[in-house]
Amino acid sequence: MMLTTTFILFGLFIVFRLFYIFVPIFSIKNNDKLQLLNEEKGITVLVPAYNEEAIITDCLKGLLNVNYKNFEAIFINDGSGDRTFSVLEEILELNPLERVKAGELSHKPTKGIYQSDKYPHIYVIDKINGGKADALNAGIELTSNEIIVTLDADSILDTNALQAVNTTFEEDRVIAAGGMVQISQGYRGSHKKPTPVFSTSGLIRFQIIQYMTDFYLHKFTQSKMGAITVIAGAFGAFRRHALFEVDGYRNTVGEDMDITLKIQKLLRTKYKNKKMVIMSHALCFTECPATFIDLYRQRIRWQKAFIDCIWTYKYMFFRKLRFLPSLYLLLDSLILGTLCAFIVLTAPFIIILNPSNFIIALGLFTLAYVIALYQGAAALFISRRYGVSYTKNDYMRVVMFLPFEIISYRLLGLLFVSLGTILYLKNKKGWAASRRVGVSYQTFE
Amino acid sequence: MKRIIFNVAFAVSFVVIFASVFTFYLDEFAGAYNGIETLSPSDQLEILECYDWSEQISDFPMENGKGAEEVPVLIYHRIVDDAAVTKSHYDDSANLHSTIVLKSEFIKQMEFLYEEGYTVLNSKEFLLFMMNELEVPEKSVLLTFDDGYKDNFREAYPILKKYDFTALSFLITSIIPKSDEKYKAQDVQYFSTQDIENSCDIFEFYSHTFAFHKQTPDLEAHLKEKSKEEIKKDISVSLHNLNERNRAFSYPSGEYDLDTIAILSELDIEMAFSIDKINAEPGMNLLEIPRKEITSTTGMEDFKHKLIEKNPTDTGS
Repeated sequence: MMLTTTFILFGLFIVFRLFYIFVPIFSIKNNDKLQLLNEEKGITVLVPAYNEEAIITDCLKGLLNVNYKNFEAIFINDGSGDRTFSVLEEILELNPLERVKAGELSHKPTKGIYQSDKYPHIYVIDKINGGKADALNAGIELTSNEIIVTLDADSILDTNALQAVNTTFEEDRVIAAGGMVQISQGYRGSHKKPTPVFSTSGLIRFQIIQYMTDFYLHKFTQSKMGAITVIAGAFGAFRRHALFEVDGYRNTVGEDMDITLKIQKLLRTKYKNKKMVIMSHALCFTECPATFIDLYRQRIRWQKAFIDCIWTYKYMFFRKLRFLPSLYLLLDSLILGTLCAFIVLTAPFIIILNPSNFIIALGLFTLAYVIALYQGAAALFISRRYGVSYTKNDYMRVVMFLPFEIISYRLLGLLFVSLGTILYLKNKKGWAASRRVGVSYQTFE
Repeated sequence: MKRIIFNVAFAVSFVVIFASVFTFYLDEFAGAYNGIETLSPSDQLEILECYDWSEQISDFPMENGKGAEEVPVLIYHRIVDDAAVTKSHYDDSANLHSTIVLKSEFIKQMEFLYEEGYTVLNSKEFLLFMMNELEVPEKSVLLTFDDGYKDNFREAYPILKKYDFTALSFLITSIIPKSDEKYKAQDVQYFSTQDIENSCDIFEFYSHTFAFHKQTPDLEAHLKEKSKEEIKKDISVSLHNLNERNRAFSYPSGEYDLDTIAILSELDIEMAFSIDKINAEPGMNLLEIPRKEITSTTGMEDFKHKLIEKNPTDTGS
């Protein structure tokens, strides 16, 4: 019985991996270049910030360097206890301003709205702390442009990112779109023309490969299948009306997954012809945790956010959400991603107790290893087709690193997933209260 | 064009590598997956103290001090319920396979033993009798079952239990399923580990080899054809499976030769059973104990005859 279950799960795992590897390989062309449009649609970029004094200037610089005219950016200082607001004030030379609110989404009171004297398309909202969702809602209230981009304060937009958003939303059917999040430690040189590098610590290398796989393979495939379940909070784009129709963001630990699922609900009920896609050319660079303890905190948070969302939407799968996103969430994310983490972690003990299964476990491991190697290779090839190409030396480094990474850092990921789930389930009630105590807004899915 | 070639090469190389790894492990997967996982060489049944009752020696009421001089040892294979008999139980010439005894027949046979006051011995009593160290009643018998068919548990066990009889069951340990499956009379099924644990109050379990209940392509028994090392290894593995219970052994199809006997003796096996038409009596080689086969064609008269019939006077020494 247990063996049958193992084989079924493993079969499922293989099927999903095959999709992730071969859908992108066969559908993405070489030198897939971004098509620039002449007409620029109006875009508002919302940047919620809570205690981001150290990093917010980089984010601002990224916005100032964007190769796009018809946009405004609104920083929302969510009652930071540090100098976030002063930093913005000094650089931007802020003047108080009156702006019309839509009056549809409730949020914590604002203390003031300001416009930059120096860069008139940059605005700042200073408000009382209410959490990331609350800050985003305050920002949405002030928008009038058709497209709203949400950006984390620790993320830096690529110069062509908004052009890519513009091109993506040229298609009327697109109601929301996810950007490609890259790891800033994996790049060197100017922000205007960053060069990808692989000479960095193992912990960061592991995350570079993971983000690459996640965005270029997983998210791309999900996009093709209409099964996107998370538009990363770091960088996403939405049609303004959709955000209002779902009553804005909900205050939860995983507000990015939550808003994505709310829009998926909209796609199932109201906008049957519309779709959610991934913007392969819209890059942003985010700093990933550089120490084990920070990585641990981030991953535990992600996993708690994920389980929380699954729990919240438990009655909506298949009924209120489309078939494929439901299937993806339940099978790949929950069963394969979370439950199997426990199985894989307990496998060594099961083998010790019952050595007769050793060969079978070894067989399954070898198959999974082959798949993982090909998946890593596919991620590199696909990102290269989008112009993310490393030097020969760096490719050598990847080739040396990948076989080792699969059996080291990646297994650590399983531990995080398991721990996050246990911690969430253990403290389900307590968690709700601690939601607002945001340490950082660095969430991704 | 270049991309297409690359994609195809990428896909093909993947398929080739993945398929070769898969084929390499296919036997293991299939073996495990064929539904049932069976005992592996390292496994041990949890029956260490389960049939300690077989060490007990009954206080036999001996009338006139007249003990048995010889004891018939009966060997059964399958016991199938009359109502459950299907095509699969018949051979090519439309006869019930000889190894199958119908449940109704088995009931009559056990009833007979009970009503006639037969004493069913356990292994210890029988061993001491064979060593001339114990007197057993004139009407004594030893019941044995070969191969460990699941129907022995389903059909024979309740009947034996009803009459308070016990029996020796010889298991081919490599085919013991580790998880219980539903009993299907039409299939050939074997005692699962659970069945064994649930019936050790009636059955004593001993080795019928680990995996050598087979024949080579030219129909020679493994126990005669394989090398001495291989045979010894196979049997010791089965003993390991059985918590080193080495009181008894049964030769698959009753076939053995001098080498086999030597191996069993090296492995300290106390008694080994073959198949013959005569009763067991003290003085016989303990590794060549004869058993009388009960088959599908054994009628009641035949059965009684097998019990009563004495050995010709020139055997046994």
